[in-house]
Amino acid sequence: MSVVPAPNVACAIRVTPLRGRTDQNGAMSDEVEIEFRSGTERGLQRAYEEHGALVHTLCARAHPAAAADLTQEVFLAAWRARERFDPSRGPLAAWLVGIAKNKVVDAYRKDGRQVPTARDDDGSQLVRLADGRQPVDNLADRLLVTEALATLPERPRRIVEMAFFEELTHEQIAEETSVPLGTVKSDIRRGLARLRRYLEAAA
Amino acid sequence: MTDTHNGSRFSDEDIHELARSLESHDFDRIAAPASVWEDISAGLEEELAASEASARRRSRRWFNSAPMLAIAAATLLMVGVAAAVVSRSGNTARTDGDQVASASMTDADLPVATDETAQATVVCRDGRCEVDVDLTGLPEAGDDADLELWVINGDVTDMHSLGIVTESGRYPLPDGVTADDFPIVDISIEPRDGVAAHSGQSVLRGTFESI
Repeated sequence: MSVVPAPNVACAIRVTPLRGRTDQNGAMSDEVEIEFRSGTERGLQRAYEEHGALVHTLCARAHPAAAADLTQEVFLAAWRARERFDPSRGPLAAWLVGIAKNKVVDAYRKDGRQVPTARDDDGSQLVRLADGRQPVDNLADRLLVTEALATLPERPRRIVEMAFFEELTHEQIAEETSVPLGTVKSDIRRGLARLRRYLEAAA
Repeated sequence: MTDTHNGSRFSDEDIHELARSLESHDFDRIAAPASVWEDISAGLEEELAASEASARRRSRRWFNSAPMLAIAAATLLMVGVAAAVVSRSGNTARTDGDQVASASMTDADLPVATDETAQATVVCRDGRCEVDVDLTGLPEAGDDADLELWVINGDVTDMHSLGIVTESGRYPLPDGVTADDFPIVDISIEPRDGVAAHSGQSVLRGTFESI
């Protein structure tokens, strides 16, 4: 299904857990977000420092030839639209990813002189990009899941990873981590809520 | 695990499936070259300078100049006369129908630059809607090309042409096409090459906001 080109891994860096986001409800008030909305250059710079790599990763994997230009466009467009960013509807990272997805699709459309309707059926890359669940959407979702995971504090992140990647049962996780079963369950429930919040804000 | 989020686009199972499908490089981030921030910073300074300059121009034009005020008053009078003529002459009076959404159209972030801007307003009456486009002037289309009006959906996967634009005026929306579903209003330069698709050469664009 996916036709996303292979990433340029020459300068890959790993998602590391973020500092300063320790509540588990996802309803965090984030000073970067507040500063971003203020419209100052400093606010934009902090948003870029925090989320530039995420946005650039999406652009580089979805449209390698135009990645640097697209990343630049995303942040300038975000600055212009900053008043439309509503922190209560989701995190800034996800909002920026939503803009980046549009820029990527737009860039393909401009290159191809093609109306990208899902009804077209001539096999062009644009049509595949626009065909129902777009590859760029899927790529964005995967990056948002890893991004959201990185915002979780150490214990819940580890527990969510054990449940998702190692596919252990809640009881097995409780056994292995010596964390009470009820805590395991609530960590997983909150972890899912955090992931959903990221996914929905960019959808 | 049961899905307790029926209203959500992403069920618990969707998220589990996404998580299971992750590959190692989904955890990797690709750092942008240093030039990207430099370009963003330069772009931002241009924007800030432009908005300051335009604020200064506006304030000079409207508040600091008696001759300009006189001209403005005379212009308003002429507009009043013209509007009266239009409304007497028939069906294009601007108060005809309910205004449901409007968009300011500029060349910001578009491939083609212009000094012109436009205001687009969706006006509905008896279930039929039109986009009323009010241009400061016609952007330059060049030889053998037309300006074409489009509405585009939020994720730029579907659009409708509302026709060739030769002047400010009203352009009917196809049945079932709403500003909610197609919030982007766009004017592009279309070469007369027989290709009906959008050329990608947008010159004015805006996003409808409900009134």
